[in-house]
Amino acid sequence: MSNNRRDFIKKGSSLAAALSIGAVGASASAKNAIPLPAQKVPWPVLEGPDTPKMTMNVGHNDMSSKVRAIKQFGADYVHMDAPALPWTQAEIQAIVDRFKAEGLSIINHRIILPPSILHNMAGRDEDIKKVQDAIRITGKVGIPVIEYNFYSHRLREGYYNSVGRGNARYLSFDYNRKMPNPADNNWNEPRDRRADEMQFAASELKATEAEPATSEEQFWENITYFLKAIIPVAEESGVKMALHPNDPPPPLSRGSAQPMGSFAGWKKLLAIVDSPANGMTFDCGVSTEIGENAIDVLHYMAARNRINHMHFRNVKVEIPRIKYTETYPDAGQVNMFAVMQELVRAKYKYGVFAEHPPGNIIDKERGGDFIGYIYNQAYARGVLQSVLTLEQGYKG
Amino acid sequence: MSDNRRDFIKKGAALAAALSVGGGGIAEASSLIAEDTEKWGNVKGKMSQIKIAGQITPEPTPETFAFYNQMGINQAVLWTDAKKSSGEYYGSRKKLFADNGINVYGFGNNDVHNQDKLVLNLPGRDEKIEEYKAHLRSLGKAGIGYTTYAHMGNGIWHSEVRGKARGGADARDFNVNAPHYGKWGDNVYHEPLSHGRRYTRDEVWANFKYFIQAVVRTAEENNVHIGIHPDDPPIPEMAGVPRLFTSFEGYKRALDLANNSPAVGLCLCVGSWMEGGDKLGKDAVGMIDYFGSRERIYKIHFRNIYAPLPHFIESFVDDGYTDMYTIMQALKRNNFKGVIIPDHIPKMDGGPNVGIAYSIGYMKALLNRVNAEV
Repeated sequence: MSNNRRDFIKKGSSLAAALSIGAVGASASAKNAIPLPAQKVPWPVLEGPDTPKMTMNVGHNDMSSKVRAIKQFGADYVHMDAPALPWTQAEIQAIVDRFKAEGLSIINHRIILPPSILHNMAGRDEDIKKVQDAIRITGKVGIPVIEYNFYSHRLREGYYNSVGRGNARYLSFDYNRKMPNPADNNWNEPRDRRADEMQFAASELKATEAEPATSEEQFWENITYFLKAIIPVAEESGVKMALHPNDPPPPLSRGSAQPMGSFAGWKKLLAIVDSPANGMTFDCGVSTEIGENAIDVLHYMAARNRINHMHFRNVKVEIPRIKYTETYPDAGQVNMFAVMQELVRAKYKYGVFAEHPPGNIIDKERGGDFIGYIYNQAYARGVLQSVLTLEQGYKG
Repeated sequence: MSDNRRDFIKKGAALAAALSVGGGGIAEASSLIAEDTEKWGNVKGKMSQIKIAGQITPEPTPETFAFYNQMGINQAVLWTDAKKSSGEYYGSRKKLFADNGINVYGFGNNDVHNQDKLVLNLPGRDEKIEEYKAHLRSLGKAGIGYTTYAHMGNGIWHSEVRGKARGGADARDFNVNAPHYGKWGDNVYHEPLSHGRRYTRDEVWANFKYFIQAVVRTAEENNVHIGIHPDDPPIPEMAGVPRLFTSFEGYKRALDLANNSPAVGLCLCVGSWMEGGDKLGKDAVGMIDYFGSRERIYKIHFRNIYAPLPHFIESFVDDGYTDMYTIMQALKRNNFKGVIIPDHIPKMDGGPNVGIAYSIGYMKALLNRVNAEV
């Protein structure tokens, strides 16, 4: 489709040339004009090989109606929840081809690691072998990035719905908040809350058999073993790994340490194997939730070429790691322009996902979070285009 | 209120010399309701006064309000027709919207807009002018300071076929060299002659002068600003009917005919203006620099197209041939205080709110961007 679009523009301009109708120049004439980019940037600004790329989430079984909507939102890339391991190359190639036919490239896919790898349990080496095979297949089908998580438990129990702009449904997190009357929550959080745990704050919850408590030491042992086994394969295969930080990032999650909820932990992770293939998902929301300046985190990771995926969302933090609210992108404390500008300057070239949209009234009626995603996506695209205009224009 | 009116008239008289802002109408309409957006975009206090407005049904449901509130919108423009037009109705809408956190910046009336009786001096012209003045008085009574007017004798023109925007979204298409028709309300117009004969430009200018001079005083007295919308498409003549608002010079002449009263300015649809390519004397940025610096632009229709005439298709706001960021920059540097609305959005899958949310999200990003510039 992006080819069609270019064809269309080409056709349009040759038609215009034939009829001697030129394009409007964006020249500023007023005496008080602020300087425009020295070199006129071709418009529309399209993503290039060395720019960030807007991406939206798909399932590997998603059908063309959803895919068509994604094209309309101006995304040429998707990131995908991959099928369960193990895969065959033919299976993944068929998925790549199906999206390709709709004009969409898969910029990364997310795999789920089994407990054997997360907790050093029986079968770990066999399962690591499956991941290595998946990395090789990923390289062969031309998907540049694999995203993964490495935690025992995600502490969703601390989430609750709060009232945002225009009574929008915001997602808040509070480590110490006691469960209110569940009937008060007429939207979708908290969920997965056991009846016998209703009276507890998220900070008081204990580990379960399925998700045992992992100490900080065990975490580092397990992830080091994993990375040392898979990063060389990723390097050989031309694939980059992106570890998503702990989100939410409180100190303990059902008794498990959360090293991936701190900047120090991220630095340590990147040092385990010193390779661009050993990277992370840079999340400007989580970076802010843990009390850091998102731009500092970005600079640290980008300088080491370790940002392999990116989550573009905003937040208002009351107590770092403990209490915060996710907001509309234009309503939080993160300067989203600065984030995008630094990504562009770092020549970050993978996906930008404008995620976690607040719940919109229309979505409340129809279910899902479709309109919320559109708003976030359009905002991020506007930010990206104006940053590209600014940066590329001043280069000339 | 009567003090405001006197003030407005006084300022109007002084305006030709002083180029000061016109009166209480716009100032009142632009009073901002608390804005939720974080002020990190506001570097060194240079936040612009550009406001994004929704074009919203005058008969909203609670869900309508919730949707716009959540999009962070606190300004609206509404449209109705002769059946409902009255001071009471406008006032009731103003209050209803204000109770829901949204200021009614402007109100249009489809039955006194794009009227061939006015453009071509057809029987019933003076009654139409009276109807227009009643509309202005109703706005004054309701304390609404803005209304859009267009002087198209045979409507807005479309190709017989629809176009496709990105992702196959259904979009308006117009092609000079393919079958097309004009439309306003229930009236449909065709080439070669929509009204039986070819009218001269002088006739249509005389009719515009007759109309605008008949209503400008009433607009001033009622603190109402009239924004004239470009003829869409901006082709000098369609089906035998000349179109005046198809060039920079046309607008200049029109404002002269209105005695340069601040009650008469522009509703600049930048999309319509892009349709004209380089044929209109100034491009959209040039129009904003000229008329915006003179405080005569009251509303912007913020949309984009893929290529200019002779054949255009409307695009998503980020996907057309114009860098909309340059439009937003021009509004900022000219200290534009009016509203910008999302307009003519290709039909995104999922219903009308989808495209509105997309356009608003994008516009907010550009607005935050220009507000961040020092």
